[in-house]
Amino acid sequence: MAIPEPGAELPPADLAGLVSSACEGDQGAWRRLVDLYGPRVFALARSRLRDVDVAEEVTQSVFATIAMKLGKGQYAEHGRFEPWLFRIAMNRVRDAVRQARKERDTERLRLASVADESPVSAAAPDIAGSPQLRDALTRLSPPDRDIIELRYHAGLSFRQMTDLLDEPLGTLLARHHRALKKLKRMLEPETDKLPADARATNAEGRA
Amino acid sequence: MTHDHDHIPDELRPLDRALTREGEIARLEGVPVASRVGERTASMLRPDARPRTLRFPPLWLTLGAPLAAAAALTLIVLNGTPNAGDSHRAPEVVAADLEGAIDVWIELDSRWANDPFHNDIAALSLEAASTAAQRHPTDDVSGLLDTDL
Repeated sequence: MAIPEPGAELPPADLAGLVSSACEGDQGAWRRLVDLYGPRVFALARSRLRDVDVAEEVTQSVFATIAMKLGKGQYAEHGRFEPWLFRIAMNRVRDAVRQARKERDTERLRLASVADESPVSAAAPDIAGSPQLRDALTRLSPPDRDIIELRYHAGLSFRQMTDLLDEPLGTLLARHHRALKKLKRMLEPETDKLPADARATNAEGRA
Repeated sequence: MTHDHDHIPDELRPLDRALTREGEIARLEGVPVASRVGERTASMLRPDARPRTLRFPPLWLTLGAPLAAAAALTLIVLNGTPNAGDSHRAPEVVAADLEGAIDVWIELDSRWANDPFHNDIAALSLEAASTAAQRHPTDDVSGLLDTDL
């Protein structure tokens, strides 16, 4: 199965045409929009919520809202469909996170995530899909995690993120860099985090 | 998905690649989800799809109409049944009453069959989902993403 191309690679005129057709009730255009953006919204929700079923519910809730607003002629974000969609998605994901915390269900979500091994990730030689990487993501601060997940899971370009997060491009690039560094440190073995002289002292002690 | 990785230092590129792969895996999982969601939400594009109560009779009417018809039929049958103290109605009149009542019953019954109960339940569920989806006043407000969780 091919990974769907992200909406970012859809020419703006085509995207505008699809949205316009969907506003007029064209269900084919609507399904095409959902095929384009649904996997990205799901990936964002999946990463944050760590539960496939809840992520699907969130995805459905996002597109139900979008469909209703398009159908009622309430779409006023012309030319900014993606930021609008992902703003709704981020809000829904946050609502779901709050709900999960409220229900003290996070342990169940964690266990479900660890048990859910994708066959693709199992074949991958790197740490993608690994519990370590997912755990490290959960330890990032919410703003850092937003950057990482919008970038890698939702597949947004930095320019699209400037619209969504209302931050200058340079700021977002710097935040992305810092978030990656934090993640890298979390994934390193404990000894690698020590300064070089401390590692040498440890090595002498063991000798 | 292609990303511009030029700004990423060499030391962070393995992690960048792992995260890119992680995102691809998650999106791949989302392909069948998107297909289901597209199917489920397509009808919500039509403004006439809401409120559902305009397209479907209310539940109490759907349930109540056959019951009322059955009660009416019973009354007619009881009234039409000859007994010792009731001999003023001719049999052909009673038969005509009964026939009319049965016609009404058959019409209601066919309507019941054409508009099955589970359609109403589905419509009500969808409407509830739509209502729930509307209860998010923050959707149209930008700049809320830094809200503390």
